[in-house]
Amino acid sequence: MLTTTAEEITREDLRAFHLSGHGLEHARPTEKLRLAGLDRILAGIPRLEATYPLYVAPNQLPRPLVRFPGVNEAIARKVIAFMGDRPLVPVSEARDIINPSIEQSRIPAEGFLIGFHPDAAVLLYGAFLELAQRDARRAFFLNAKRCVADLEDLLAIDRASRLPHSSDTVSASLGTAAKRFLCATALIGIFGHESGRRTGMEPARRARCESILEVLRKGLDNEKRDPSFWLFHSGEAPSDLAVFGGRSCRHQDSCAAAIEFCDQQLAQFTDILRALRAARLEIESAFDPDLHSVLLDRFDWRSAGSDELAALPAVVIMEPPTQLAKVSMASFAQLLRSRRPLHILVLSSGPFVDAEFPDFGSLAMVHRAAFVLQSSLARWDHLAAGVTEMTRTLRPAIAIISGPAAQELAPDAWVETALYDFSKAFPLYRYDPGRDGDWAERFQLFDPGAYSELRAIQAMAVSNRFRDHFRLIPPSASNDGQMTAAEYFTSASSQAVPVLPVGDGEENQWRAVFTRELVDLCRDRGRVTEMLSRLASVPETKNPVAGLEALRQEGAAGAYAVVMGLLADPEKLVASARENSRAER
Amino acid sequence: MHRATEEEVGLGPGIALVDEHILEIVSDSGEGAQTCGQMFADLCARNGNGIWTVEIIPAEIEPPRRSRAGASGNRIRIGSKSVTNAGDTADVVIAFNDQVLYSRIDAGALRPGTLVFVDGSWAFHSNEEIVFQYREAVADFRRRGYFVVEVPIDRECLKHTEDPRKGKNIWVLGMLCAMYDLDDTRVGQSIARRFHKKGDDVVRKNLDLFGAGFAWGLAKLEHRFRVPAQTAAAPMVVMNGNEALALGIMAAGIEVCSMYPITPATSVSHFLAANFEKAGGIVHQAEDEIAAIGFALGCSYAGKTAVTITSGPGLALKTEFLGLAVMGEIPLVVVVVQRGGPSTGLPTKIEQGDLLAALYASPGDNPKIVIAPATIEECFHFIIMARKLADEFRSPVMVLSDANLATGQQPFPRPQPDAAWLAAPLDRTPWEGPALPFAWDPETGLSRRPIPGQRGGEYILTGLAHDEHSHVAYESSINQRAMRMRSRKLAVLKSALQAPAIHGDPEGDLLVVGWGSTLGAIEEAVDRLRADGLRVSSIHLRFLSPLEPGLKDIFARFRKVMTVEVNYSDDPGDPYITPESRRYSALAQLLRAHTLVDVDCWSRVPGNPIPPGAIECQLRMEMSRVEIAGKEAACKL
Amino acid sequence: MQTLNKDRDFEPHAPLHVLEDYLGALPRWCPGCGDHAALNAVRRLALDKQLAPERTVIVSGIGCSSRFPHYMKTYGFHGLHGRAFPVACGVRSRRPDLHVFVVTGDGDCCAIGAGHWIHALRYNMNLTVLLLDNNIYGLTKNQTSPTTRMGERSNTHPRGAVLAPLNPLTVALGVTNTSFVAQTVDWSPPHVYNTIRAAYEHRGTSFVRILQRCPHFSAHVFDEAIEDPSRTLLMEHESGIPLDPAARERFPNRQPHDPHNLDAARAVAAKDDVYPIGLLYRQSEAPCYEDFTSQGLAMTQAEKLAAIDAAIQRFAI
Repeated sequence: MLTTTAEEITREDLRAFHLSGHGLEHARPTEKLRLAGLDRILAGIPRLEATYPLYVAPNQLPRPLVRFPGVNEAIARKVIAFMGDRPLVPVSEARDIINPSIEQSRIPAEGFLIGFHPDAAVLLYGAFLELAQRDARRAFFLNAKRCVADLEDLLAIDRASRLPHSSDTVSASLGTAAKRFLCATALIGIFGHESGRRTGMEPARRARCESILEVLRKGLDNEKRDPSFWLFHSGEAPSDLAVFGGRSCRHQDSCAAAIEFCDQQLAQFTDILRALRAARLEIESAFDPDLHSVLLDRFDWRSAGSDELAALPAVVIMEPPTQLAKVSMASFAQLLRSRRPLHILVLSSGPFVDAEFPDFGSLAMVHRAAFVLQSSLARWDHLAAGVTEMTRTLRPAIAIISGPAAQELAPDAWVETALYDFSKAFPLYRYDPGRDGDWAERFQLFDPGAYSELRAIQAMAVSNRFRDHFRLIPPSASNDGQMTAAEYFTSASSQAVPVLPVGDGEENQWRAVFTRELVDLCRDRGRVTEMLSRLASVPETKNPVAGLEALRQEGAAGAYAVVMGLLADPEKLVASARENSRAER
Repeated sequence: MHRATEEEVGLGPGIALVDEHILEIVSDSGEGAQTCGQMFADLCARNGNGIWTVEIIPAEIEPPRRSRAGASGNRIRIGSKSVTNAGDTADVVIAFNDQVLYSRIDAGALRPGTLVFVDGSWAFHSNEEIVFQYREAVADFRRRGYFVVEVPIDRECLKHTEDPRKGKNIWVLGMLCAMYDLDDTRVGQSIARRFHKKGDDVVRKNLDLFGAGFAWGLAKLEHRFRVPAQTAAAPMVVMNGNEALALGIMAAGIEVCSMYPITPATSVSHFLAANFEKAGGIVHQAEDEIAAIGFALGCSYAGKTAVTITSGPGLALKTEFLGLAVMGEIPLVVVVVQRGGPSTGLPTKIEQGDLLAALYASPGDNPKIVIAPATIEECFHFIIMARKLADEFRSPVMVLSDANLATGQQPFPRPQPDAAWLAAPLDRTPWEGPALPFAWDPETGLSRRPIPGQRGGEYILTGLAHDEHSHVAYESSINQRAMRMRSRKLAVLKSALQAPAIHGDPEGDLLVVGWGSTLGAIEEAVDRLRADGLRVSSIHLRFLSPLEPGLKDIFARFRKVMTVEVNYSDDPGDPYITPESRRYSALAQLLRAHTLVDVDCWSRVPGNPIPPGAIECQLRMEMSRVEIAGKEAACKL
Repeated sequence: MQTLNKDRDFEPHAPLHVLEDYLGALPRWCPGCGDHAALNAVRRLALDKQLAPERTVIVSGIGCSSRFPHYMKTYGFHGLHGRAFPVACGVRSRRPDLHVFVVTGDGDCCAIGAGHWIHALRYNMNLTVLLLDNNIYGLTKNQTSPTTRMGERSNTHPRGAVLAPLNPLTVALGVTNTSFVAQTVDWSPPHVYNTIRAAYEHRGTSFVRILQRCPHFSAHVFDEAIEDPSRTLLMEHESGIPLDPAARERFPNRQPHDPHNLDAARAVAAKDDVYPIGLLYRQSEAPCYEDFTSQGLAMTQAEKLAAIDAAIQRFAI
């Protein structure tokens, strides 16, 4: 770390660097900064990494391995180490490490272990989706199958009533042995007598039934082929997607592709939904062409029941924020407006930086029709709860999930992610416009607890992502023009250069200076967090009926104003967002 | 039994060519002679031989060992052509001990010259008494003229298993395959099939035992046989009558089998319980026989014609509901697998005693359709016919099987399921025209019924006398008419029936009439007489209500008509038994009343199938009487 | 995404039913017979629930009460004495689309049909069971029934019944898998209706005993219960039978009773000094036998034929 000597660093250099972010190249840190007292701070916060690895199995709620009886943190850490950079490992492989003494029944062998890994978010989402949709799908297709059976019956009855008793049909229906004892032609005469033979259905209706049957049969076939969800993405998809029945589709502009695909899927599905409704009417002999054909033409997927739409394989988009900002910004906005059941997973390491990508969370909230989840891989319980809700919603939904950057691996990757969370640099919240009740119901901000000495800047300091914004200076270079970050951020407006103490807490420490840009970034994040907590703390009303709408307006207006403030750029985005939110009002 | 010499081509040393053979395997129950017999029968069938098997069943689950009453096993009649009955005395008997063999001797299953293989290990038993008893028995067997071979079954098995009681049967199966010159390749699979559930070890052990038995047989047996087989043209299946009934129920598109456990009918539901669900059906085990038919009737009323299966005592309990089925004209299939009666009677044994109960039981006039399959193949196909007739004629249809068909195995051409056999689907479309649940066609008495769910067809089914609307009949004329309509349906069905086919010449001295499982034995006996130039023929009735047409004309062409049945009738010449006081067997009563012909009968209730030989000698006696009577008549002239 | 559920448009537009749609033959019960109360309640239920007459099946046995189906314009099965339960179970077994009621009497249910009664409760199929209990055989003219109180005179026991009566409530509550047991009285028609309604809404076999009088042979059996309020005990609970003001007034002797508590239910049922009125026991988790009997209904013909062929193939040689 000792790359510079005091003599070479002047007060001016420092100031210049602080303001411009340039210069002092030789003082650029070569590895992660070891902030003074970081270990003490970490010791003070819950050990979130202990929730990994997670145990997932088909049709079971994912849960941390440590929560199985007989497993402790030490074992969990050993497993993590064993997994290395693999996101997913079958339990069977890790069994010996977990502990031979834990018998099979406790940890079913058919399951998998998910590590603290960039891919974890997508895999987890797949697992939760499967859970959320399984029952709905089963119920839906069983019902469809019933309709097919009943329609076949209906047509069979019609066929029977139309074709006159022939000696063939009669003797066939009596089985092969009867021929030796019964005279079919005589039987025809007898059955011919039978009064009140029914008349068949009119051709139009028969044709209708047959076409309905056609559609339903096709639907049932497709059901066998469809995956449990589609994953759209521009980069690499996790290889283990298939474990949860997912299928990946790679596209440059994944949002646009997903929307198009979703529309096709909905169109096909709508045919099935129509057929189901028509089928029920036909089975009850209650189909009235004048009335129902009109209604059926008007019918589209928006009129379908949520239980029905839940049977549709989900369409999920997975992108890193930068990609989304670069390529898909327009289609992203379109998607939030689309009202279609499309889910986006934004995998972000740390908070947004306007220069790189916008605050997707706030942006989505402005659209107000979308479900928004901002959560962190490091905060399992929040993530699990949020994702569970998200997989059940049928609105457009977006999850911004903070996790380790690619090539960042456990164990130290979690430190950064955890710090973003605890320092509120990356606030966790859930916004669900589907909730009735008051605003507080719909918007819930997660409070990581008060860790006064933790600041966004510390999280950034241990992240590779912001390394350029720091310079390391020796004790000798310290002077009264410098001020510790703690003081700096509390003092009103200071001309001083903020620094972070680095290394073990002995005398005349080294220090890390950082840029004004970071300072502003931290302040911005501070304001965002503040805004969110203001949103969250909109007073609850005793009388929802009366106060409800007012609160909706107030809360939303607040959010709108603040976020608009934040989104100076890009212009067109703001415009479209404003227009939408007006439409919403 | 024709026995050929070794010189005949294609035969290994010591192998005799025979065109049929009767084999019995008996053991204490629990030693698996049954399994052994079934597997061997199955092998023969697969080999292309005709077979017929009879189970030898003790009344208890595990009676005392080495006791006559405890004998359990199989009789297998193997033929080069199709076999229609269990035949007469056995050619070969394999007994796991001397006492169970006595039970077969008592049953008259052996004859002098029968080849007897008995487990010789008993001679070395630790218990002196047993050793003594065994030696005495063997000596006795020889005195009786059996050809006794002592086989150390137990001791041989001990080389391969610690508990021979569990393995003997497979060793014997091996020995049998050697004895009957069956290649052992097929057996591997069938052993694996049978034991795979019990694990590989069990399979391996049994394969060892089989191999050992086979090797021993090749090395030690002096008598070996081959029953030439013919490869069947069409694909075949082999099963017992109850399995055939169960498959028939599935193939008829019936969805509900409602039953209460009763021997020997229960095994039908065992097969269904295991397979019915896959075809969309269920077995309902009711709380009693009455509830069983009630449940089935409710199901039929709601549009899904159901089946209930039972045996004599159960039939007695079901009669009130049978009456309701007739009165309410609800389709229903009632399978009765007859056993020995009256009362609890002979639960596991054979009898045809329930014909009149099936026809008449239930108060008042209750015309219903009664049919009786005569072969295992018919057990399958008759259920399909029964379900269809029940639906078309809105009537309960009784299917009378018996313990002989129930447990006998016989190969027959494989049925190909046909959509036309299935019940018509449930009709939920609105009812057309006025809600007349009994719009009797004035000529045929047939009518269509509304099914719950059909709008406009609402009616109240009632067991009270009722009119077309199913309204309670408060005026007297209605009842007469309703009765007429329900009875008319049988006459109508009869009009579509064909006269029974005559086995033998259409005219002659003696006509034998039978029904049910006696078909094979009767025709075999008749053929033996005809081979000697005697003018005997037989007919076999499947429809008992209504009776098949043309009987009177057929009877008129024979000097004597008699039924042969497995149920009770007084023997002429017994004390107090006069032509006036004599009680005839069931079918005879029916035919006499129906044709006014003086139909005679010969019936027995031994609990076993009547062997063709017994029928043969009875018929020869009858023939001599007929001739004498003929001569007397001639002298008088 | 909001789903505005327009599905009502596609409901098979069943005609709106009026009371006449449910009126069968003119009841031939004696004037003042308690059966009328039950009949009116069921007719009203049918109307309020708009039960499709073609989807409603009323199964009965033999006896005065078992004439019930004839007086409804629905499907009905007036069968054998004591055998209503097996028939009803059979009707329901493959037709989960039908509303099945069982109407039975104290002789029909508790004497000749007792065996079926117990097992029907255990099957717990979706049946609404009305036991019209007038403590006497009416149709056969005044013979002792299982519920006739000791000492009551009848043609078969002119010096008074010699045995203590059978208590249908304790019997029902003693059966495994019983899921709904209630009692009501013909002298409070609103309560009869509310009880039958609750019974209909319950999934499973709901057993309702209706205490009622035969004007000819048991006209006065309940007089003291009617005159002396302390002889009736009205059970109250938010998940019990909804109470109308009239009932509250009629039955001042009330006590809270949680219908989910089986022991409490048995205790109340066993009281011989009062007639408990209301819902004694209900549990909605009891397994329904029809979940078993109705399987395979969605199977297509092709699937069936394939299964049959596979079954036959097992015997191929």
